[in-house]
Amino acid sequence: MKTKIIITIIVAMLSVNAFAQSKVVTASIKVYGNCSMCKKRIETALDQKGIKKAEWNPKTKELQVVYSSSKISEMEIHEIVAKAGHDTDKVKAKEETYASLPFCCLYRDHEMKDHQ
Amino acid sequence: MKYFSIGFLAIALAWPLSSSAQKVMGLVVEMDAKGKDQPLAGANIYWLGTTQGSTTRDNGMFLIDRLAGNSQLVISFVGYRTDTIQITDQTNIKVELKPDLVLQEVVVEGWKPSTVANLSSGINVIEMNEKELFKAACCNLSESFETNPSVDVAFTDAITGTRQIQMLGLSGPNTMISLENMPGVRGLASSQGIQFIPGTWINSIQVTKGVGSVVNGYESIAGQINVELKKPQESDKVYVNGYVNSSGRTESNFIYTTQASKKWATTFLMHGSVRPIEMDQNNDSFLDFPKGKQINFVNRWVYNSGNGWLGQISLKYLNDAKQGGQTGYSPEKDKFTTSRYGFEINTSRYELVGKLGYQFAGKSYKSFGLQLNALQHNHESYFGFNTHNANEQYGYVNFIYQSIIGSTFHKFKMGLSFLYDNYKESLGNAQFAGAPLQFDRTELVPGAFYEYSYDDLKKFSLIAGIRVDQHSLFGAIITPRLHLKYNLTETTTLRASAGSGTRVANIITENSGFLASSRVLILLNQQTDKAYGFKPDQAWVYGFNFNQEFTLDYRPGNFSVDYFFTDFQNQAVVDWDFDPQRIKFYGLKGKSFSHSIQAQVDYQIARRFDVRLAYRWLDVETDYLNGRLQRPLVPRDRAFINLAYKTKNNWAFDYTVTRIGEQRIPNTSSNPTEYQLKSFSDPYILMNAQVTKDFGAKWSAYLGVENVGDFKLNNPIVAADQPFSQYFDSSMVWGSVFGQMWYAGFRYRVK
Repeated sequence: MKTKIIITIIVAMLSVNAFAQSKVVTASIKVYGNCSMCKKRIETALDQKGIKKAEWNPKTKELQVVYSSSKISEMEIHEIVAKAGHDTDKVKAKEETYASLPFCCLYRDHEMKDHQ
Repeated sequence: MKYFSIGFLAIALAWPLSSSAQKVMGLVVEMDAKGKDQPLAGANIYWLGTTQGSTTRDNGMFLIDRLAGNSQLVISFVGYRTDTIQITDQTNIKVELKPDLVLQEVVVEGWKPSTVANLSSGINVIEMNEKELFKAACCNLSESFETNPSVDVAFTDAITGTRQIQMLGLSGPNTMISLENMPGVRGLASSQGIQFIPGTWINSIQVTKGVGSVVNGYESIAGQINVELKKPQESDKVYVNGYVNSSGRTESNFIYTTQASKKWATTFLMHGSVRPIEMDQNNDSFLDFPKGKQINFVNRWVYNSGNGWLGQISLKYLNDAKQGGQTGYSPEKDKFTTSRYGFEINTSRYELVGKLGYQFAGKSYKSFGLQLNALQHNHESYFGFNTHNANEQYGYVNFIYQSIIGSTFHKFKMGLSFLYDNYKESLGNAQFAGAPLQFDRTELVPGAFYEYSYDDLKKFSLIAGIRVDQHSLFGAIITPRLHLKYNLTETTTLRASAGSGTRVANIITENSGFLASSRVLILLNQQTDKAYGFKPDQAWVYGFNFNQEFTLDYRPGNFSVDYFFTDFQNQAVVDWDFDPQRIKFYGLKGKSFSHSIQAQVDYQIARRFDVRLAYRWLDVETDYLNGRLQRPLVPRDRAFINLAYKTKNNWAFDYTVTRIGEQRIPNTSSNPTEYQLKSFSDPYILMNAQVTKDFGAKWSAYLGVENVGDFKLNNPIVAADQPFSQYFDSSMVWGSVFGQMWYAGFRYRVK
């Protein structure tokens, strides 16, 4: 009898778990940046409720993000990243924010001006 | 219609407005010696002929409003040639300023030396960085291992507050403590030395269990601990730390770094600490900690020629004074009398360290380096009537050449070393008229080493090294060492190591606890007429390590198990058991060994919440005159939990719980009943907690409690009521002497 109850509880927990799992989404987002400092900035900015994991690869510029779709949307993630100063493939950072980035994170193309 | 026209007007008005509000964004840089762009902060930006301007930020960026009818933007900065550029419709520009040759010397250029090739990947090294070290904010190297379950720290006695580390259950000096890859805490410093490295000076620590590399000498047996101090290349400009605790200890640390010229940079490290008050929590009439003061100073210089030459010079000075014993002890009145028991330890140390390296141009794998070290260490002490005075003069040169064989899969390091070590040591008793025992010796040790390493960069790596040293007192010392690493999968690593280590035990310094007792020194079964009469300690050490990285619920974790076996071929055995009124040293006859098994899990159970669990089991035994016994005062096992949580607004919480298993206490059965101790100690639990808050980038403050559970020994000293009787002994301490201790401090740093 006792074992039966325990099994039932375990099954119940597993199914709850499976239910929660079904809402977990893994997405890959293009995020612009350069260095390990950018990596820290992006990943720290995404330290938010609903986001289970955020890992940005400086080489491929791919952000792998795991989140539960009931708590946060993909668009919100784009906005969080842009607010931290990093352009994504959907949302561009504000100029003022971009201009405050650390030197090594200045990822946009700057047109070289020669002196006259 | 009306609404429409208003709407239209609004748009018509807003359009030119938004266009005129549009800004020009730009980046101002200069080119450094290596051809890389560096930002120029504080450069002036203005439209030609106007006062409409801006300056660049720390990252070299500026934003400036467009000015109708003006497209000439001027960029100027002291020491650089002013530039005027034509702005058309670009919104994002980049300007490189050229230095003005006349003022060029004003330019301060940041540089970083190339990192020295790290060949240690085949060796299992645990790196402890600053973040890890902040978890235990107090005070010196001996406290840095609070969050590291591989290294134990134990008091040597109940009155001097001296701590020693233990690795694999073997006492401190069996572990080589190197400072920036040069033998550091050794010789006379092996008893007090780890307290001479202030915690705030430490940049990082690397812990290796078992034998290390042959490059740094033959001495490491149980392991190697390498300490990196703050360096001119990467330190904060200014670092100030203040600390105070409830045992009356106050300390301050000050670190200052500056780029003295283009090629030279320097760092000053300063430490001062004092414990001026007497504390006796357990009312046994003895101070729980000695009173004392320490002044510690290092000035180091780094040189980078820019064409491959790198150099370093450090000057070090230390002065440490401790005084303790019974409450109210005054050296002027009570020294060498039976009115009160007291002791003093005075240490002074001068040291010079130099390094010179050359990296061949375009060949990052090829370099040579020269390490130099010279020091003078003075130690004066007395405990009751026991006097112990010692002086060490030490010189060390090590030349290392490293390159590759054919391809970078095969590397080697080879070199020559020379060690000079001169000791003058005397042990006496002020009650007896006889001359003190004199232990003087001079060691001259030329040596040569070769270390080959292979790394296929995928699965397998190997490091095989051998060194041969010719010791002027003890003849040839041959030290082979081997490390293997195999990656079973991308996340599973197997490691094995085997090798030997040899060292001349400074038996009095390393067992200085017996001086704070009435034990009489007996030397038996002597093997030579050199040093203390014993051949060097020599042991073979074998180790295996299994490491598995894992990801659970998207968060990373790590699991590892290791086993180490140390087998002594020779040892100056320390016998505390034969007679509680004697301490006997004799050459090993039979076996002396240590088995150590440790399992550890690290996992991030939630974001910013790290957990570390560890368990270690030890079996350390030695054949004594009356048979094989467990080594005294070594815990049988140890369980460890560390929780570290950080909030998003920079509050950090750390909590460590350690359960220390039972320890065998030296035999006291022949003492009168009131001076007898149990044969085994009780297991006990120690807890530490700390809260740290960062206020912006510059300030942080911390508050902590050591020994939260207030566990302390009631009678740590045998015959504390009769300190001049033959039963007096403060060396058999197996736990904390001081109960709960609060501390608080701050850090201020400018990058």
